[in-house]
Amino acid sequence: MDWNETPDLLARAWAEQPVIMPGPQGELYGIFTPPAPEAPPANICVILFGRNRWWCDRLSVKSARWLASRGFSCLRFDYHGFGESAGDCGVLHGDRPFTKDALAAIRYMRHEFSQKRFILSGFCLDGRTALSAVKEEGKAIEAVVCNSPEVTGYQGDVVTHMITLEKIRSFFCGSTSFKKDMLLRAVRRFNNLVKLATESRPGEALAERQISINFKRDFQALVRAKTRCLFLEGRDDSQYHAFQLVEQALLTKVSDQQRARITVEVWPGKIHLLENPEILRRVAERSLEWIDLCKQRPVSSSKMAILDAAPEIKMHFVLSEEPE
Amino acid sequence: MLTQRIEATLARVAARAGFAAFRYNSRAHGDSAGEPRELTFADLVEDACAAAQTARELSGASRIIWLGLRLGCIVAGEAMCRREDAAGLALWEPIHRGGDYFRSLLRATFFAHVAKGRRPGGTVDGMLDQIKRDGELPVIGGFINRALYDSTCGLDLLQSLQNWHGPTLIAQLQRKHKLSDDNEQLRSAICQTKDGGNVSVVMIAQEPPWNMMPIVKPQWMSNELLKSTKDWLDGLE
Repeated sequence: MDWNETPDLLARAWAEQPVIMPGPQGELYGIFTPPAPEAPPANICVILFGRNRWWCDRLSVKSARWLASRGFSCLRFDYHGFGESAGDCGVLHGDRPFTKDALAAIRYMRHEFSQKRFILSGFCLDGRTALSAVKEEGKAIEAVVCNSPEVTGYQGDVVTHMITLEKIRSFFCGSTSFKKDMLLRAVRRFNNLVKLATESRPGEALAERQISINFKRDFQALVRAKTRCLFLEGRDDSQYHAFQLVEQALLTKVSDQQRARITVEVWPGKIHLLENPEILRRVAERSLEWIDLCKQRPVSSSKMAILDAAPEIKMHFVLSEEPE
Repeated sequence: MLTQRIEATLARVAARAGFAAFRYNSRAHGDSAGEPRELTFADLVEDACAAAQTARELSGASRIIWLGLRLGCIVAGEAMCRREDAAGLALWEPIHRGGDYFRSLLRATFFAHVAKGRRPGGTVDGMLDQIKRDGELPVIGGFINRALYDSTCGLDLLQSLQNWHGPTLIAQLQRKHKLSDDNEQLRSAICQTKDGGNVSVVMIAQEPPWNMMPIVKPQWMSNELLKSTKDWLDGLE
């Protein structure tokens, strides 16, 4: 994908409108990108979540303009405590998404911009935010892109990846401060393990107990709502190691029809590299392609029973190689 | 750009104190249009001048107090020189030489690799060569583009402000408890102009991870910096 600014994208930039939405802790500031009048209307509003609304090298800015040039409406905004929005975000935690902000944005778009159908997209905590809105707004949410989310309720690796060859090698090759940091992390992880072992979650083995209750609830809401979802993961990311628990414990329990709505793509290497803008560009490109396909094959408008039409659905749950 | 929160907060603080405040995104930054590959330092200065003009038209004010953050200090300095309406200049942790800005970005990228236990693949000089060769270089949270690099590298804040003698705030955000050599030199230079500039200095013993800002969450904020800037604004005639 060409990330350079074309005349179409520039026209979308000129058409953008600032929005100020009521949020749980005061006003939320965002930018609405209206669809290009010359493009076939998608009749879908894509909300791009990010911290802040220019997420990483302005990928959300460029994404919004690209989608708008293809007929989507788009919104990107600052969560409370970020950018220009009111409030205080406090300490961030991968398992505590900004659900209230997401719901406020959906409702504002519905009431003030007459948007009826939504696609929500985000990376990491922002992906969790997108997913968490499905419980209350599932009927209106066409699809969710949830890239490399945290699925555990604690920081650090899951039990199966606490000690790996790579870590041992890094430990011996690393500096003293790196070693100290690694040891501290190991202690924290051991504490997590003890907490998990003593937690009371009936019917769940230790492995499944590592998945956070919040994620489980949101995942189950996703399945119930018949909302399509893309999970994009990097095979070597700790986030994917944790997501494998979801594959084993949750995805195996859903019906074929339900599973057909959930696309899991696993790329070689790592994608959860916030310091690597090239990888994040490729993640954004794939997300945009997938969202664009949703326009062609809407699901929730008919809540169709047979879901074998769209190409990405056919390859559901196939651990595909990195797309070109 | 991820200093957006403190900038927005200062604008509101200043507005509450009776100053009209205006913030903007330069082309190819934030919500603005523009192609980063073509962006040069001259564009940034042109945008700053356009912003000043718009701010005056919107507010009805006749003079401008400029505020620059890091590399933005050189932008503000150059833009001020092209106009005759500057009433004051606040410099937040100024970058004194354009080349220093890029080197610090590259060092941070190196550090990010080392912190994850990876060996960086080259040297800072090698990375600088890559900018010249490929036109862009990935760093934390974005890319360095050749056009901006080439047009910014040789700039010097001291030179940009050689004719400036108005009220100035130098806010140093560093762990050290004395003024850095560069800031001291700048302070002396402004004070020694023929009209004798009035320079206020604030030292805040913080060192925000500037080049890690894209991955630092939540967004950086400093109440001490906000307060000292507001106090300085209040003290202006």
